[in-house]
Amino acid sequence: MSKQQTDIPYGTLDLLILKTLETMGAMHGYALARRIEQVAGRILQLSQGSLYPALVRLQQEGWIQTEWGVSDTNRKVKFFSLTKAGRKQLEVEIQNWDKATALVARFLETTT
Amino acid sequence: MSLRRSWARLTAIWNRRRLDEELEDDIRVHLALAEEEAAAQGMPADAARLEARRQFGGIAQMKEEHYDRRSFRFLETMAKDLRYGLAGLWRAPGFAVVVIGVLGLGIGGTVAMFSVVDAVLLKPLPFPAPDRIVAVWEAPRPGVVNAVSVRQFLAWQRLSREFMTLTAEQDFSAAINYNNQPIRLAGKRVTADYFNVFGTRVALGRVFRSTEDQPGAEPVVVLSHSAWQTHFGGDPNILQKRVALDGRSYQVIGVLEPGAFDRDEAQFWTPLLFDQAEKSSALKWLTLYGRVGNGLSIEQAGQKMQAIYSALAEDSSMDGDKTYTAVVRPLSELLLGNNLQRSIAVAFC
Repeated sequence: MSKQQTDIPYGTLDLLILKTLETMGAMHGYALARRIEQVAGRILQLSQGSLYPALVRLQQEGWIQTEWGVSDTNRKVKFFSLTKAGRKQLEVEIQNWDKATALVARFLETTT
Repeated sequence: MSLRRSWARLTAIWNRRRLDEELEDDIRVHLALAEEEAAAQGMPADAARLEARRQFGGIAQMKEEHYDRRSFRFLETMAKDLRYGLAGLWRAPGFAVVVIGVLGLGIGGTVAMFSVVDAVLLKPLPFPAPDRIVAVWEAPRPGVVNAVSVRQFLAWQRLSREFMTLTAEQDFSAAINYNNQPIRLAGKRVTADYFNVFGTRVALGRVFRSTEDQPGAEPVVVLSHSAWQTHFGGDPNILQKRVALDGRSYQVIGVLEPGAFDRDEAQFWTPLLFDQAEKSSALKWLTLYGRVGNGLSIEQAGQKMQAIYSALAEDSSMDGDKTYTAVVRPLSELLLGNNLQRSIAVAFC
């Protein structure tokens, strides 16, 4: 039986978060999770909780920063946004991804 | 892992409590927001809460991952263990005191024993070619050590010159005046060859010239490195200074290199001069050391010395006795004692 709905490909959650923050600007954790789910549609099965450990790591690397803000429903929430270093890192991650997919694509071409 | 992140993870250990609270906050807010959104879509409250939880995924699992990412898990665990251990000790202070005392005594005892082994068995004497340095004395019978008279020493020195350099010393303490504070320093009077026998080098200046233990020589003094540092403030111009020892003025001619004679109490050395009365006296008051020349074993030097002693014993002015012997022993064996060294080796090895 083939699996249509997948977990996030290894190492790409960073890329998804950084890219989302780049497009959407500062947003809080829940909104970020919802946004990723919406864009991914049914392809992706995301445990929203798994975002937080990733956010911690990105923050420790200095790629994202946090500040307190207020949500649409008037709750005090933490907003995440991209830093300058984060923008640079996003470019690197995109390049890496392109390379990886190009590599895989080449193999698929030659073998079929 | 970048340096920046390693640092963040390290500091996270100290901020654990705050970070924990933040995480709890994040989770609570996230769930609340999800619940509100589900409720806004017309879900009943219970179902909305369940839906929020379902979407979030395993909270415990996520926390574990969070801890792993946030800091170095083993360090955090170790800190926790440490705190727990300390709290335990605090709760039972009597037990803690006993444990700390036992450990302290154990460690202290081990260190003390190792210090002894190190000094006695491992560390060589702080002189070049220490195995060539010997002590020389007269033995009326085995195990008895006689000091040596001045005329004995001078004769032995002259006759053994080709295979051994002999020197004599006498303990001598003197009051010195430093910064208007009189202090008493332990020192030695020694013949001019003393530092040649021990192979000691100087940090400043020079050691004695061969003429400086002869009658009429200018009074001079050599200082140990520690005396120079402690009592003369490491004065770089010390060689231009004179020092009063027991009120008599001496020219400072040298400072020994650090480490030399560190085990000894002596802080300064002045030449040992013999006057006419001493040269004709039978009084035995000198301690002799020698450096045996290369190409001769200590035993061979001892045999030669014995031959000299026996020959001199014929001469009544040489304070010898036909039934006595002359003994030449390595200095290391003497300081430590052959038996001591052996018993410590047996005890520890």
